[in-house]
Amino acid sequence: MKKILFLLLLLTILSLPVFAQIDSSGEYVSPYSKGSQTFTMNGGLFIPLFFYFPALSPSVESTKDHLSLGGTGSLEWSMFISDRISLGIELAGTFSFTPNMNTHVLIPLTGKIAYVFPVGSFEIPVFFGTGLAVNKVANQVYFGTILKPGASVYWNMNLRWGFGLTAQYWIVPEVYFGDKSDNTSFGNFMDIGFSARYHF
Amino acid sequence: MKIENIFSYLVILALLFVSSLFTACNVNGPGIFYTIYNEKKISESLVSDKPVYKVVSAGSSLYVRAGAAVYKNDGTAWNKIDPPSAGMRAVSLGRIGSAIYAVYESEASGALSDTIYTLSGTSWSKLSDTVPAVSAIDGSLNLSLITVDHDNNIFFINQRTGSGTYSFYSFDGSFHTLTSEDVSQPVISAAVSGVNYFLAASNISGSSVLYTTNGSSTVTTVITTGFDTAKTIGGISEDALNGNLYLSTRDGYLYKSSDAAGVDWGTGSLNSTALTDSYGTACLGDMAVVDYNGTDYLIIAADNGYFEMDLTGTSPELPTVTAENFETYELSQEAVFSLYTETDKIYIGSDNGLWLSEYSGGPALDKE
Repeated sequence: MKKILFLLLLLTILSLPVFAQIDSSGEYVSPYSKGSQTFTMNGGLFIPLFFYFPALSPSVESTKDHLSLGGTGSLEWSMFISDRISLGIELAGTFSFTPNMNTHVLIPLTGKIAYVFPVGSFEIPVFFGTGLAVNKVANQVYFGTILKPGASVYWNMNLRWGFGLTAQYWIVPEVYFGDKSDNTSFGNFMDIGFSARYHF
Repeated sequence: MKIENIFSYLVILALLFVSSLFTACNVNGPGIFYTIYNEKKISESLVSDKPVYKVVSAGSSLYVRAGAAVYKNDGTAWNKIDPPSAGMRAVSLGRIGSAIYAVYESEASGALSDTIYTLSGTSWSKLSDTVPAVSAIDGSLNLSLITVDHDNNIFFINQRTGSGTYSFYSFDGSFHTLTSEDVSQPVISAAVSGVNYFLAASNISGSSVLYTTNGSSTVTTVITTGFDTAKTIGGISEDALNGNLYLSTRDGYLYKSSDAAGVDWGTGSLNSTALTDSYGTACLGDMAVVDYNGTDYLIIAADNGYFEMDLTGTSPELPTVTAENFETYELSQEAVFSLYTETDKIYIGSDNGLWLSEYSGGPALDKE
């Protein structure tokens, strides 16, 4: 009974056009305009997927038994350059553990471009980020690049605050030349977490 | 916003990505993901997280000096051997046959001293009053046992007698004084070639002497050619098969004698440039010869792991035969203090535990 009541309450809240983005004529009205800014906080799970070693055989190796499920968090600032498109910058951090409990850390600083699809009281930003990342385990540190495509689903609680889920795919190249070229690899990860966004 | 502006932003992102590919760097190690993928779960034991300064075998048991204590493994598990008295610290370890000897440091009324003990069962007894005991000189002690690979009938004793002075002894069941007067370099490593023992004495300031003795007579200085005695020696080892001696130096060079007398060391070191690992110039130390999968290798301890060289070779290299993907092991980042070898086995005492490279159809490197 409690579950049913909870679901009904949830559906009621979600269906409320608290700050509806549809005007009286049924047209979408974007809450954003050129110059609108958002500040977003993310936190969730960091999921190692697989490593790709172009020079080795087999080239695709699962991270299972090599890296644990980890955690991630990030802070992001964005500015809209139209009512649908924003440009931003994100600082993130992750941790996960190797079999001998060495901590693997990724700290990317990325530029980000996003396009917002409105769906009623919801928004679905689809985005792509790239930049530099500090990649560290034990006493090895690698400074390299990173690609982060992803998408979010936000429910706008009011004009200022939106809450939702974010999923990102992380491609982390580790490129070597010369003697170590065979060790070139591409780490593939995913993060799924909760997001809170402030619009101002 | 104009499409051109968005396009410009995307181009900037793409350029950032491509340029960062070429500015990426990792000065240390074989690669983050390569290392993670090759990492194996390390078993934990009483000695797995301790610095292992010495490894010896006696009877069917293995003994190590790890941290300030002595541990024994009888083939099933490691057990700590309690010191002679509470609070005493093990500072050196040796063996003769199946007997184990250790130097323990004690403090009485604020005064430090080193004494040699022998192990009887699980308790230590003082060797005898005739064995040198050392009191602290300038606040530090130095009474150390120097074992010889592949000869478990003797060990040598290095005694600090004053500020920068030393005397040597040997023990083969009886006690022998090997120096008629104090010398200025401590013995750091010993090897045997035929009936002669070679003691490599060296100090950190770069002054080295090679001594020889039959084990009971006073040492004599070997007049060497081709070896730079201004270098600090890391270790000495013998190649009994070919009648050669090897010397390693703390600045990354390996020397090979062309005779069993340790006189002729050729025209210089085997390697023309100092050995390097992923972290720079290697500081070489203890050495041992091992029969590994039917081939004899010289194993050379270093400040980041170890090197290996086929005895017919001329160039030590980071391990590929005795350990696959060596650079992905934590051992490749750890200082190696002690080596002990048996056929197809290399025990490696590092600053973070004891490792064993064992050949059994293939090389396996694991922590003990």
